[in-house]
Amino acid sequence: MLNYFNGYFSNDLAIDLGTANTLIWARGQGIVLNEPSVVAIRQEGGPNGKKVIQQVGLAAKQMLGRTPGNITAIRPMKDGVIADFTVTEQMLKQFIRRVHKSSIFTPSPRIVICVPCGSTQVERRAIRESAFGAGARRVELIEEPMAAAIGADLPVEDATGSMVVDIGGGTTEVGVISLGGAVYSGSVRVGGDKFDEAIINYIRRNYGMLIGETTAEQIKKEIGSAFPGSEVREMEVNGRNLAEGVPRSFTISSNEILEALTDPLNSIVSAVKTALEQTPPELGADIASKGMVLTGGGALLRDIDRLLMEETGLPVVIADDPLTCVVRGSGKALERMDKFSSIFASD
Amino acid sequence: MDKNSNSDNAAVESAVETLPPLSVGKILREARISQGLNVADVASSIKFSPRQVEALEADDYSHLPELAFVRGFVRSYARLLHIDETPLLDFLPRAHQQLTSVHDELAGVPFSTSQSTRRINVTWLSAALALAVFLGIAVWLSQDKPEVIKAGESPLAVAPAELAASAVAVVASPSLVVSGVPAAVATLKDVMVKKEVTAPKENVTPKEVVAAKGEGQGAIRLVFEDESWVDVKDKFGKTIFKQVNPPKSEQWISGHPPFSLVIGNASSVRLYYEGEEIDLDEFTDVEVARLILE
Repeated sequence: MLNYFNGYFSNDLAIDLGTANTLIWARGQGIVLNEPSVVAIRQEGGPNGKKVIQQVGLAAKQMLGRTPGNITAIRPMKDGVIADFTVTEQMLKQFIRRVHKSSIFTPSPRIVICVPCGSTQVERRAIRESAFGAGARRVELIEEPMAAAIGADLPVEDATGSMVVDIGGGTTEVGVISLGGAVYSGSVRVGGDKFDEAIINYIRRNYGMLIGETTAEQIKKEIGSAFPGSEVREMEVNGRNLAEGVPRSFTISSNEILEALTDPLNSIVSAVKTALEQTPPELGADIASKGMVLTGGGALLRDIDRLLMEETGLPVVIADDPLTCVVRGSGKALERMDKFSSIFASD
Repeated sequence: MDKNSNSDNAAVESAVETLPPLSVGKILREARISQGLNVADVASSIKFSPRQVEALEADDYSHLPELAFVRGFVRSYARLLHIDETPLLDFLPRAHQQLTSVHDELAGVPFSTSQSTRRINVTWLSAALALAVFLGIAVWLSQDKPEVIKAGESPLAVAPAELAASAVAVVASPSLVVSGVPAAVATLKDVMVKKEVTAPKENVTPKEVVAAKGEGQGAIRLVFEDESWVDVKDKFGKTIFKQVNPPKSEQWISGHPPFSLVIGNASSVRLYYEGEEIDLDEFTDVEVARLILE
């Protein structure tokens, strides 16, 4: 009864709880929140002092790698799943509170939350529990490839194969969808974070310089590419010289970044090829004529569509607004939650 | 699917018709020609078939996949030609919601599996069981009723079971049937009402039968040709006459029928009940006659 009453004052939410960014979509409002999945926690005075949340989201992200001893900036999600349960719960609670303006009643929304298709039962349970802990009164899970396909406006309910490749922060999800269900779904724990990591490692190995995650992400966004193009771009980067121990600046080119990204990109290509091998021939024919759709932040990496096109020989298209595809798809699923229950994942 | 894609394409076509004369296909085609590329070059670069490239340039959307793919196709093509993709994409309508209502209608129809059939059987079984329980209660209640009346102060009681063959049983049984059968088919609630309705009826029915015979007072006449011992009990089991009668005598007995009579030396006794002679031979066993008079 109380739940029903609270529900009257709560919006239903669809959440893309991603490794890099958390997006929230509210029924009837669209995307209401797009923040990095980062929490800054401050330890209050003394060794037995309690921990309090300093910042969540963008403000916390800016603290990453720049915190004093008593503040830790944490990314509670890793590889698409929860790495720190308590912090994730607190982060979700803060985000939900942020999208609910009313302060009279504690928000108690129904939540659709997406999970990587390769996540284990324990990881799914953790995500469900953290959403309940953050105040949800009902939680439905949806697999990311399905949400991405719905968000990219693919004909998921038709008897035609649609292939979607969602390159997120922590995972890359490959799904072949037909008649409202996933015919094949695969997940590799390679995504934007692995790209950053590869760039950091490359620079340390070849330049003897240490750069932070934020810098690596900037490099990836500015000059990163997945396929050798005619245009070579350069960027000046600041880092700490490992030999001298002092900050130095150096210039790095897009071709070098391409070389750095070879390994994680190969993992993605092989995941896509595996999916194509496992796809029944009729659906394979559909995919050959229509192509596959790229979604997620990884789709914004320059020429990643070219890479997949050349590797598979199939048309590859990038969805409209790839960063928000998953949350938009979850939102559409949320709107039809009662009628469209078959697309939700079980534990 | 065909229907869906056709409707998509129709939407695209109608949108394109309302646009300025310069279409997406034309822009792409002109840009391609100006850069000295042919269709095959484009097809090999973006991996769409030459047929699809030609269809796009001719704005023939019936030979192209769904809108989401067409938008991606246009984006790839524009990038290949190094032209701005945004105005081209603005020309194309955004893909509408794919989760159409047609699917909704079908989505709710349950598929009959062996399991669901079993579930239906279980439903029917439980309904039948519930009905049986109600009937059982109804019958039990209706059978219970005469006992209640018997224990009460009603002047007319139902005959004991051992007297079923007698007239009393015959009279009482229609009342049982009257109250029992309708109550059995009715629900429990109806039974409770029925009980009240049928109870007075039950009291009335035998009374009427008896009243026709002797206005509530049975008249027995006994004519003794030889010495005989007689014991008469009325409906309450109360002995109303018990004595040894001398030969050549006569006795009149009245009371509340039915009467239970035990007559010794029956062969020398004549019994008249309400003016009619009753042959005692039928009831006689070793000179003693036992009978019940209604």
